[in-house]
Amino acid sequence: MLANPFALRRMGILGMNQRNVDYIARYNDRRFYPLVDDKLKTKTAALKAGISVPHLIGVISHQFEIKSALGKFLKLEKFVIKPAQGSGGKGILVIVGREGDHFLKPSGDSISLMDIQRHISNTLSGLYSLGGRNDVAMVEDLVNFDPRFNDYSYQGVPDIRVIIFKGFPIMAMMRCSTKDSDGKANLHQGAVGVGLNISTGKSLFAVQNGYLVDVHPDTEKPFDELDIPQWDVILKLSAACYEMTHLGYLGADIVLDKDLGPLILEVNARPGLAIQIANQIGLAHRLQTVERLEHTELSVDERVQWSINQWKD
Amino acid sequence: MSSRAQVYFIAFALILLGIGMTLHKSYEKGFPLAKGETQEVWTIEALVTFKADASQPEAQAKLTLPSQQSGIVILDEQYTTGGYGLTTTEENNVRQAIWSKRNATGPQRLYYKMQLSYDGQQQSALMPEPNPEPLASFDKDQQVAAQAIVDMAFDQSADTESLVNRLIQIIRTKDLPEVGYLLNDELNTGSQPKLIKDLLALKGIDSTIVRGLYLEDGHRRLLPSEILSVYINGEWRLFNFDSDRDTRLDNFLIWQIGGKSLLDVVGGTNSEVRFSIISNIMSSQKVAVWNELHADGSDSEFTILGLPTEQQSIFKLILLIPLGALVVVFLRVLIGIKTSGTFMPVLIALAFIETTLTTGLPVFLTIVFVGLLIRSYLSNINLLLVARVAAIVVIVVGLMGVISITSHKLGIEQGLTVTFFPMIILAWTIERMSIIWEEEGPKDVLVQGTGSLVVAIMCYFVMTSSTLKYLVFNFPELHLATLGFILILGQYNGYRLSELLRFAQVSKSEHDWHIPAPKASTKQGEN
Repeated sequence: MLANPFALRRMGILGMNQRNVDYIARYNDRRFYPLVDDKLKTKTAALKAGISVPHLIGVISHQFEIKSALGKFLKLEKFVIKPAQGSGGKGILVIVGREGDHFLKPSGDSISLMDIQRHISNTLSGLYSLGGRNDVAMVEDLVNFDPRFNDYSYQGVPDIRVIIFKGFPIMAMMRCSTKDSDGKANLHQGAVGVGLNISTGKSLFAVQNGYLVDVHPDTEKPFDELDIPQWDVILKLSAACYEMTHLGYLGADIVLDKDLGPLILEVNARPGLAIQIANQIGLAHRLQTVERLEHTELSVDERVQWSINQWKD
Repeated sequence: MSSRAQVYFIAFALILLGIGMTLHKSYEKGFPLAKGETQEVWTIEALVTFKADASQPEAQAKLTLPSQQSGIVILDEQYTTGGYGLTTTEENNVRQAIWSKRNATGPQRLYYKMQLSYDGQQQSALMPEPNPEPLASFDKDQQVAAQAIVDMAFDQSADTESLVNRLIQIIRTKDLPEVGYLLNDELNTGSQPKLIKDLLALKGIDSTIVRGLYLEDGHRRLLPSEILSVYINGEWRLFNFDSDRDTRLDNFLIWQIGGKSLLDVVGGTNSEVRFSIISNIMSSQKVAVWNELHADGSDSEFTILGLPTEQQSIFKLILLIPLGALVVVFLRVLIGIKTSGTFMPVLIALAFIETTLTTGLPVFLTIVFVGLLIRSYLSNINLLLVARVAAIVVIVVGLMGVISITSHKLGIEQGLTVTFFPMIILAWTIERMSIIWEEEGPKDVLVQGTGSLVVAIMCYFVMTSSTLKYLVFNFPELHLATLGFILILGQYNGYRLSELLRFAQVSKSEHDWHIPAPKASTKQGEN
């Protein structure tokens, strides 16, 4: 039932405490947190650094702006509203289409303009932000995700999480929503995590609720056929987040847009540990390998190449 | 020194300091480490009586008071004034209480009361410097008789100690006619100890008269006893006088040393001081607190015990919070229990302390449950977040009122204590829970809600432990050690218990590890 802690240590499984004490506290300077904790700031910084992000339609910062913003939504077919300071995917409202006066969510539920108004109002009041701080609502283009992933997801956008340590890609996985997870890409709610070979972008293992699976539970699509396109672009995009955020240990969340290619959705200063289960390997050994590196003054391309060579098999 | 080593150094220093200060306080100041230790406390009352002179209305009474000395601890002192002005003085280590009044008539009664704890082995540091050439106050006739007594006693003794004992024996039994003569003569000026003091002076031995009391329970209207302190071989030794006592002086309280009178009354006659003695058993902690407050003027400024009782009781609660915080850190860092809000469980536990767990838990669950139901309705009508939380606060207040009144009607007075629940916390709990319900489903509500409650209940049990409560209030410096433990836990980078469960599936495939390629490559080969 319980794992042997010594076996976990031997395998290099990173625990929450070790992540917090040895990596986040040591390599992530707190003064750089506001940039990643505020998605609006992240987006601005990414645009400045030439990193691709979903197009920003508009920002609503005050309650009185909601009314006038609502009129603009009527012209839109698809969009996403997210709190700039939300965490863990809380408060993200995705609209995939219209049905008369009503807006359609990926689940097929329709909601009214009033519901959108209330959602924005809650967002501005800080319901979804850390510590209930006042927040702003960002309206973004909906990502038209690559149709090759259609069968790997249920009602949601599969995203790719890459862990970057000191600028080097360390480990990656794809998160696929399921019926169980209610269309959310959250592993602890039943989404499938697919471990990705960091040097090739091909699938290694797929895990749901901690157990290995071979096919997507809803679409029956086998995961071993998964081969992420533009893998080198994804690696470079995520590795470039190091320069952009100055964070030593980060998780970059990436989506593949049909037309725009890989886009950075958000950067996480405290990425979770489930990636280890999806990859069936611990993070600690890889982190230590990078920690032992002496020459780290490398360009993004050099770092990506080093990681590709390092973890080829 | 690496930052980790620094933290460990500081943490262990804090732990040692905290425990060290606690032990020091326990041994030096007598604060017992365990609740319930008791100690004997003596209450001594001195009653000064005199008849005020009709011709001279101004009256003044000076009473010598015992000084703080090793072996006794004066815990508290009280005076009655009865219309007198009262001052206390301390000169040359002699403390005096001085009552004075301009217009006194008739019999006067003045009280001085003290509480002290006595642990035997009394050693007065206030003994006078020995006089190498003591003077005897005999006149010519007495001198002959006195010399005869001393010489006889001297012949019948081996050293100074036995000489003193022999002299006491001779004087007490009045074996020799000379004694009767001397005592008769001395009656108006002195007593047996005074006579022996003079006799010893003839042999060049210095001695002094010590007045005091034998501490025995239930004595009333006692005159002070006199004993003799003789300077022998470089130290003052006390000698017992009373024939009906054994020679031990284990429970003799030294009140006054030297020849000065115990009581000095101006403007009065028939002055007298008498003592009553009562022994009580008191909790050692109370004795130590008393001691801290009254005896150690310098330290008492910095103790919680110096605060008014009302603030003290608030502090009693505040001092428990670090314990709760330690429990939270422990359960989150070592066990990995998920809670909603980091220290909210401590606040809930504080509320439980006021209401007791058996009342608090059902009330808490009821309020949160009903609150969630009402909140789910509120989400259907459009409200701004702040207004919605405020609405829940109002509803929570209403629920508390209903619970209080219902329980009162049912005769359960404990229900009234629900008002101690922090309302804003409850309202936020309901709001957060309902958001989690909507966004992540009831399972997460259950996980986080149960986690919070489990942590709160653990905090409650730690914070209501009578041993810990007693320790942190009497030894607040123990929290230095708490801080040290928290620092150490903050450095813990091992696995949480919950992670051993979480990663259990991973470690089962340990033999597959380090070769993750086969599965991927074979499957790729099939493609």
